[in-house]
Amino acid sequence: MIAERDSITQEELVLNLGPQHPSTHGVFRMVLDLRGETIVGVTPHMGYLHRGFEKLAERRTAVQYQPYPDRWDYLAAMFDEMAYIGAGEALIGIEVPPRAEWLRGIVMELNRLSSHLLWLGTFLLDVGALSPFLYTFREREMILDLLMELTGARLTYSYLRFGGLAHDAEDLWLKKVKAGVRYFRRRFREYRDLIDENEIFRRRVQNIGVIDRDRAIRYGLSGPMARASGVAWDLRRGRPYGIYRQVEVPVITREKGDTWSRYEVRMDEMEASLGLLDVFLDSVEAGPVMAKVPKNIKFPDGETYFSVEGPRGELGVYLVGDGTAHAKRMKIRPPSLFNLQALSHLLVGHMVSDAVAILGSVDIVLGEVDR
Amino acid sequence: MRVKQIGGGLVKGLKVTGTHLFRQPVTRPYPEQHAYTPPRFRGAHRLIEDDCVVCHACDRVCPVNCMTIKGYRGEDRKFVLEQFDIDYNLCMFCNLCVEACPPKCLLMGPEFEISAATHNDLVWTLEDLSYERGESL
Repeated sequence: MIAERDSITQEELVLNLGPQHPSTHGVFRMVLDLRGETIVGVTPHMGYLHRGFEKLAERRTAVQYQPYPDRWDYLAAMFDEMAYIGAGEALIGIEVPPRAEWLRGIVMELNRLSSHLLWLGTFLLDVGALSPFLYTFREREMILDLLMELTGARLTYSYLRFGGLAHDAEDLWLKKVKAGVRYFRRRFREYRDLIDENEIFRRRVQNIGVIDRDRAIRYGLSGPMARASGVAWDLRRGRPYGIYRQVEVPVITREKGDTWSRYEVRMDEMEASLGLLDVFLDSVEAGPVMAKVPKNIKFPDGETYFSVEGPRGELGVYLVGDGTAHAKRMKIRPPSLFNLQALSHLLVGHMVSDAVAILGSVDIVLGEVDR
Repeated sequence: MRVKQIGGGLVKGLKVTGTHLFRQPVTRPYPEQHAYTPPRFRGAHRLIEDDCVVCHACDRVCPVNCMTIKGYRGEDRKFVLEQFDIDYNLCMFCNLCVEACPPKCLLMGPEFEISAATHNDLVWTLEDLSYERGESL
């Protein structure tokens, strides 16, 4: 009896996964307690990429802080910019011209596509499929080139401004995006052929990392994580902002809440983004892209919360102004951080190899988690 | 039944792989070939020195204070630029200085391979930033 208790199968093993592990998608460290190969406990450690962006907002003027949101979630920088700029515009009370609103919609949906494509490639790498990564990066590169032509940078766009946009889009660029959407639809069918019915992949991801509807709401999950568990909550529909007030956004949900559902939701969301891009490109109107705003922007007394539906979920900015050019206080609500809260519930009881697949399906970006 | 299922999905996937076998590569052989830099690309700065009026607008808007600018009032009461340094250890290529420049004499060029062996070499002076040098590249 004693011999059995002391044997190696009975002893709990502590496994340190990360922070320099490719499957943790950045500098995220998980301390896993293992019994055999089964996970019995998880202690996440984060903060390796903390750069103090909330405090920096108190030390920089409103205009100076504009490039910083790009560095929160560097894979979907347009949404961070929209959250910060939107919060500032709501606090100051700036009306944005319609063309700027349409163009913001276009760049955000393009950015959502590029972010989801990166997720798809790396998620499949996590479960052991190499080639889809090459396919998705080919298309992602195309989108990044388009965004670079418009904004001047591949990831840190610095494109949105209080009251509009930094540059107008040329007609040629809009035509290029239109052609890109057509091209992407064809390529998208390839992904589905390549991945959807692959029995190895399906068996690998189905019925693991299940989180039910009630628990998803209690953990405060948002975005594809929540929608895969049957929570029909999309801010573009539920609390529309900008151009989404004028268009009908389909809310994609699945009921099961497992890793496979999260995959399906993101895939369908990419297709929905293509549909939205078609609508935006058809209805973009001519006009100015910048409203009349004072040169030295000051945040008036008051507070506001503005949130956008990013590719990972609800991305919110809580902004307090005190009549100066600096924010008195700014708080970011990063979706990845909240989605990570459910990690121990998702992982406990699974095998170590599943942990990598489940973490991949949460789609975290550590720049945003740690800020 | 199960065997059929496994076969179906994999064959469908292999068909996609098969069609790609005969496609042209899409990768760009970067160091051998020039990297793609569109006209709006935000690379290293270029300064048209004669147009600069030493107004410090770029310096004031810079979020990271990476500029050191000095000038003096010349004989015809116009400002003459004496020193214009950009510290690329700090610069984050956000374009705010270019947008703030009233005479539009500060631009950003396509140059991005600016790595250096020491921190000091990353501080660019007037000669490094000159428009003519940038054009001759």
